[in-house]
Amino acid sequence: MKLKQILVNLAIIVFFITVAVFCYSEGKARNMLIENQSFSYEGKTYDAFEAIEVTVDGQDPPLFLLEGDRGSVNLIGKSHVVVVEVLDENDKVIKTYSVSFKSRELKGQIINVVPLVMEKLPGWNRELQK
Amino acid sequence: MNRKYDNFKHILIQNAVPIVFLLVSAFAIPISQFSGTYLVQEMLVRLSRNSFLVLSLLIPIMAGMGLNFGMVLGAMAGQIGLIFITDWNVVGIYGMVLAAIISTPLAILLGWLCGLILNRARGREMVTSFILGFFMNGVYQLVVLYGFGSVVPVASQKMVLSRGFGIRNVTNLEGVRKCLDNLLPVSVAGVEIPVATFLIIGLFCLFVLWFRKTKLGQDMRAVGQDLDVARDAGIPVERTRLISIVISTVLACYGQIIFLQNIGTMNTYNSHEQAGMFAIASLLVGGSTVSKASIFNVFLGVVLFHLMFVVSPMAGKYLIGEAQLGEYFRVFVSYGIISLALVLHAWRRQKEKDRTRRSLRGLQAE
Repeated sequence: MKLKQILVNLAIIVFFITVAVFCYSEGKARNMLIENQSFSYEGKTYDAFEAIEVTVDGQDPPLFLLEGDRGSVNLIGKSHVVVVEVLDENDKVIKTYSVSFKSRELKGQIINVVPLVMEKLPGWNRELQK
Repeated sequence: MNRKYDNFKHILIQNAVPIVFLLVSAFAIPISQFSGTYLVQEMLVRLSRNSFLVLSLLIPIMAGMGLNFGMVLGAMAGQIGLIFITDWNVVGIYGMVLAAIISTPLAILLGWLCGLILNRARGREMVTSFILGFFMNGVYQLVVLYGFGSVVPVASQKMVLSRGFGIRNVTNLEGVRKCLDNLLPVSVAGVEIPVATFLIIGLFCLFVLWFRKTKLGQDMRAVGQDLDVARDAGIPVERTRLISIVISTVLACYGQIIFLQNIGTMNTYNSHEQAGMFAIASLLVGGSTVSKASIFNVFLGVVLFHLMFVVSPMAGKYLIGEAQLGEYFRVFVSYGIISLALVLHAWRRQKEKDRTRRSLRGLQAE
């Protein structure tokens, strides 16, 4: 086999490996639990929202979470945007938060939207206790 | 007048299989009471689902290796890629591409092994590849039933059998379900058209047309026409035949991935078994022969074969009056048409031989 042929074959293999790695990182899905729970940080307690709608990466329909509720979503890819709409007693949107994060920031399976919207207070993401 | 009649008879014999299927469909469609829109939708779905698999059969026919029953090896490779991406939870079009990349080296290896064996079984390629499919099915079952979860790590407990190793009977492909079909969704008069899938099939057709004009394509045609003449002309016959089988196996692997993304669920131990049989039956129904097939035969065959698939259960039900009997009718028709296609193919070959002999005698008389 000529050197040129070997190099071409190697280039093809490298190309396919690169595409495979790209596909893995872009297509990898994580099943996450989104919760609306009260949260304490440095002695201060942040109350859970009375009712919210959470949209993750534009997925439809959004999750409707009452105080203390938890729902499941599939996160696909590396970057994510979570939109939290706070609802009043008539289910009208009174405030909207939009938070972005990367998959590499995730440490566990649970995302608590309360610290997440408070500029990602430590503990917004944690492991599921089994 | 006699010559005209002879030509007409020749055309009828040449197209006997599609004509029979057209007639049976024309009889069964009104009985089935399906609407035109429903049938058009079903045909579009089935064209997008099956055409790639059937197209993968064209290249070995060009190389004179007949119908490649060994395409099930490619289908197995595709399924192994799909098992991996399901375990890793890689979804969407990225998951599909990753499955194709993972399964490509496996398909090349299996195609190469198949090609080596078929080169040693010259003249009996079809039956050899058919039996090879059964043999490799055993190897596939051994790997998937015992290797996965023990030798090959599987993270997802949902996929593994309760004993701790081996993949479950059904693999849920929810992550890649219709990801290609819905990539460019177009709806015309209530009929959904999977444009992206058809674009890929179209590209494949262009590839086949281009490939025929390349040096390798010309070599394959020469090998397909006469092995000894091709060898005397300096064409590496064995290598050319081997390459045709490798290409067919790799394409069958991609075809199976496209097929299963449309279905959305995989019967882990059986999905590949019928891939070859149905693809070959479709091609024969389209009017192709063991030695000659075109892109037109592929599409005509897929439409006619699957039209029969769709209408026969309902036609059977309305004819006989019971749904269960309609289902039996469907099985009877689907397997019957494969036999019919093969019998008509053999009959046509015999007629062709007779006609050639007659014309030779006629020429000698003149």
